Amino acid sequence: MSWNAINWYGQRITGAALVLLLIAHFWVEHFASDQLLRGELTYEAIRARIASPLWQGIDIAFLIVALYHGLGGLRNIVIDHGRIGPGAARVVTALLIAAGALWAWWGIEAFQNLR
Amino acid sequence: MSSYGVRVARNQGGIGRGYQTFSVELEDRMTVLDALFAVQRDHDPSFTFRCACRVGMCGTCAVSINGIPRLACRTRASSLGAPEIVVAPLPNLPVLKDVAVSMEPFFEQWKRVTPGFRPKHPESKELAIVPASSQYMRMTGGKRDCITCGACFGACGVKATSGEYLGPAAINRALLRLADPRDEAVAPRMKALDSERAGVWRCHTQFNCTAVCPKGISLTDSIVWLKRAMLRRAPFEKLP
Ligand code: SF4
Ligand code: FES
Repeated sequence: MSWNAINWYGQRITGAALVLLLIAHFWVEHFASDQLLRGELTYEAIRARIASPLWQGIDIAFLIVALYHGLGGLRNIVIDHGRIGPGAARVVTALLIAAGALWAWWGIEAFQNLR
Repeated sequence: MSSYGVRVARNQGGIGRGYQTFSVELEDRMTVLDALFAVQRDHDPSFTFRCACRVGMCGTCAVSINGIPRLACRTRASSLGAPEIVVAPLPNLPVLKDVAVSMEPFFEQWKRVTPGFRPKHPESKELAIVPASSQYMRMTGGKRDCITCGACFGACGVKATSGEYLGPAAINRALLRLADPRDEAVAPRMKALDSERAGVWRCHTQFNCTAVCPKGISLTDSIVWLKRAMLRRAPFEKLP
């Protein structure tokens, strides 16, 4: 299977995963929290939840899936518009990978600083 | 007889000169191509358009009619349901004059998929029989009638922004050749189809090509079929 095929499939898989993760995210963040429903949502309540390794795993997966899909989509738009040559497209790809890696590190790092 | 305002694009030497409207009388069964002939005959002999067979077989007369790429000879004026008919050149192709375009970019892409038949056994004197019941014949039934009119090329949203994209007709052609059990040129076609900038991966499944094809070819289906086959490592050789 070619790299292009894998990349195309990756966009589909992450798109489908995002639908599920987004629904779960909205449900948990906006509807399923007792404190929220009672109007007593605090930083403590959020911190207690995201201190759990399970929630950290889900959140990090969400972050990586969203970054892959979003930045990959941006790259697709750049290539679709055909205004830049293959060399410039490679530079764009490298910049987007670097931005994605930095962003992922930044998000994952945040879990180290929970207080 | 009904009276129509035929609004045609004028273009000379690659420079757009806006639109001109001519009044034309047409019988009920007359087509947009008849309207273009009437404009040329009764109003301006320099008005330029292309046609050949006049019966939907050659693909020469494709133009944009009221914003949709269609064959002028297969579009009855009365079917448009409007007193004005707007005729413009096919999008995504360079205009030669008025509504006549150059098909060169279309055939440039066409050539890139190795469109001709490349026999597996060129020396063989045996007839290579493909039974009507074979998978090839069943799978390609609705896909073999392309008349290279370029309507799909003009309607494609990806083609509108990318000069490199192969376009739906060339991809469909590649599928027909790849699936043909008598043909052997898999590698050059796969190379063209798997190109990130020009190949099947650029298609956004917009269905514009399928919607306009005068031969009813499901081009989007061909493209999606190829994407799936390429994910499964192109099992073309295995087709009986
Ligand atoms: S696939 Fe259909 S629309 Fe495209 S060139 Fe062939 S006949 Fe015309
Ligand atoms: S003139 Fe041949 S298809 Fe219209």
